[in-house]
Amino acid sequence: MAIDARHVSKSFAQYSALKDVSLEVKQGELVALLGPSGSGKTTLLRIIAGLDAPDPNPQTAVFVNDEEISRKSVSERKVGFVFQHYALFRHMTVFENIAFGLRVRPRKVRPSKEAIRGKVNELLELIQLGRWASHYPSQLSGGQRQRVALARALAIEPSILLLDEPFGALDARVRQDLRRWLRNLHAKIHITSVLVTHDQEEALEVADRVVIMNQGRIEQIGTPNEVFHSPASEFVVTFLGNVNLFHGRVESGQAVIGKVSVGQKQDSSVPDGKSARVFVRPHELEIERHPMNGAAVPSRVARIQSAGSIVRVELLSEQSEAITVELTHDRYRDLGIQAGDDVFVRVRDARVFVADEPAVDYSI
Amino acid sequence: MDTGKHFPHSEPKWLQRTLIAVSVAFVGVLILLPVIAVFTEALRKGFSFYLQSITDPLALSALRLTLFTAAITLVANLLFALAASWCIAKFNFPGKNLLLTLIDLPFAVSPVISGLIFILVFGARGWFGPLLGRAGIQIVFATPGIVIATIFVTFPFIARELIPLMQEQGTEEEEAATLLGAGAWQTFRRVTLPNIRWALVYGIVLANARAMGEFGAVSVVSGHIRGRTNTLPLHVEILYNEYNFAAAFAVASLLALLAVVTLAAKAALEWRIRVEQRQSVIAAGRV
Repeated sequence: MAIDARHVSKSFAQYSALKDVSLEVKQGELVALLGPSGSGKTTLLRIIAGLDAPDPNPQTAVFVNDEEISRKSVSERKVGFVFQHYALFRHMTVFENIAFGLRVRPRKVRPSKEAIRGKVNELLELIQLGRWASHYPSQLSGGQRQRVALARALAIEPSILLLDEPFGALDARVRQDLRRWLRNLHAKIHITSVLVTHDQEEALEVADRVVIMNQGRIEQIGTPNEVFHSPASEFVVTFLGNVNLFHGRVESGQAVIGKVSVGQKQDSSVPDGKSARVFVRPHELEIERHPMNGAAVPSRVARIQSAGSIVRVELLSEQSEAITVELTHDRYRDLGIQAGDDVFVRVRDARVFVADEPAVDYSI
Repeated sequence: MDTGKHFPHSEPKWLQRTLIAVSVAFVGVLILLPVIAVFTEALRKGFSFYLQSITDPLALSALRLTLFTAAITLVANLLFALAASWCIAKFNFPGKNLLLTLIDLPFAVSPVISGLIFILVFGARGWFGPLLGRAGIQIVFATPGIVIATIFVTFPFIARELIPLMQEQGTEEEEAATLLGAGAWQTFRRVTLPNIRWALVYGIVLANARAMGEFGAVSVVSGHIRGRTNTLPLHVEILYNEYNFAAAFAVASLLALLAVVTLAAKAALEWRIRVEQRQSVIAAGRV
C-alpha cells in the first residue's frame, strides 16, 4: 500500500472535520477525494502530507510507503504537494521555484549545479514552459502557475503526490486542458497520487478510484463507474450530477410514484406504506406521446433547451414535481414536442432508497 | 492634447487649487519653516561658532550616546518584531489578541509615563532598585535605562509593519518550502525573509527616526548627567534652557541632519521598490 490511513479523526475546536476515516491507496493509483466544501477531504489530504496532525487515538495510524508518518518530520518525508492557490515563491523565478527542493538539500546529498540545471530543464520541458524559466510567478497565467507548482513538487522525486483542488482557481476551459494533461502525465510517470476536488466531473474523468466524502465521513469508495452507476447512498446519487427525485411509497415490494410502479423489487421484506425516494438521472427518462402499458408519469412540457450536445426538457408532473429529461437530438426531432404539450414520462432506470434501507436497482 | 478638458469625475478647478494651496501652506508653515529656522538660528553666530558647538565634547558625547542607543534599540526591536510577527501571523494560540494589544501599548501611553514606569520598576526606591543596587547595577539615570526606555517607545514600529503583511501572505509558501525538504532556518531565510524584506527595512527606518529623536521617556530616566546620560534631544533642551540659543540650534541641526539621512534612506528604498516593480512590469510586457 502506498498510503494507508487508519481510523483518522480530526476536530477543530467544536467542529469535527473528520470522523474515523480509513483509506488505502495502492501503488501508482490516482485517487480522487470528492465532496462538497466542509466534507473533510482537504483535512484528510493535509494529514496524509503531515501538515496537520490527526486527533490522538491509539487506533489512529497513517502509513506512507509502509512507514508511519508521525516518525518523520514534514521536511524529511518527500511528499509532493500542490496547493489550490499554487503557493509559488513569489520572489523567485520559475527556474528557482522548481530548483528549490534540490537546492535546500544538505550538502552531502545535494546534486551538483549542472545536475540541478539539467533536472529543472527536463521538468520545464515536461510542463512545456521552457521559455518562461526566468519569469516570475506574477507574470504567468493561473494554468501556467499550477504547472510550475506541479513541476516544483515533482523535482524532489516524491514518493506520493498530493493535489489540493489543483484546478479550483482556474476557468473552465483551462481546467479541462489541465485535467487531461494531468491524466497523461500520470500515465507516463505512474506516481501514486491523491487529488482533492469538489468537481464531480473532474473526479470521474481523472481518477482510477473515487472516494466520496460528506460531513467528515467516507460515503463510498469505488471506480468512477461503480460510484456513478451503483451509488451507495442518497448523498452519492445527488452529488454525482443532476438527478430527478420522485417521492413514492412501497406497495407489495414495489416502489410506486403516483399510480405508476417502477419495477419489481427483489427483496420483498420491506413492509407496505413506507415512503420511497426514487432517484432517476435525466438520461434515464424517456418522453412518450402516448402512455405505454400505464407505466408512465403524465406531465406537461415547461421548457426546452436544445443548444448543446443533448436536448434538456423540463417538465411538470401531475403532482407538480419538476422533472428534467435529457434526449438525443434525433429523439427530440422524432417526438416533435413543444412547450405546453402533454406527454408521458417513462422511467427506464432508477435507484430507490426506502427510509434507511440500502439502494435497490429497479429496471423496467 | 487638450489640457483644459475636464474628466467627468474630476473636481472643479477652484477646488483643486484651494486644496493644493492649503496643503502647500501646511507643509510650508509646519515643516519647511521650522527646518529653515533651525539652520538659520544655528548659523546666526557664524560658521565657526556652529562648528565649535557641534564638536563640543558634551555634544559629541550626546551624539555617541544617541547613536549607541539607536543601534541597540534597532537590533533588539528587530529580533522581537520578527519573533512576534512570526508567531502572530503564522500560528494560532490563546492570548494572541492580548499580545497584539500589548504591542500597541507604547503607542497609547504617553512617553513620559513610560519613563516613569521604569523609574518605578528599576529606580533606587523602585521594585528592583535595592536589589540591583546591591549587585552594583545601575539602570535608571544611566545608559541601560535610556536604552530600555527607547526600546519600549519604539517597540511597535517594526512589528506593526510586519504583522499585516505576514498575515496577508499566509503560511502556504512556508508549508510548500517545508514539504520540499527545507528546514526551519532555510524556510525563514529563503522564503519568509525575502517576502518581508521591504516592510522590514521600512519599519527599521521609522523605528530609527523615533529612537534618535525620543525625548519624553528618555528625559525621565536619563537624569541629565552631562557627558554621561545626555542624548542629543536632551542636550538641545539643556542648551536652550541656558539661553545658549545658537548652540542649541546647532546641535538641533545635527539631529535634523540625522532625520534627513533617515528620510533619504526611506526615499531611496521607495525608489528601489518602484524600480523593481517597473522592471517586473517591463518583463511582463515583453512576453
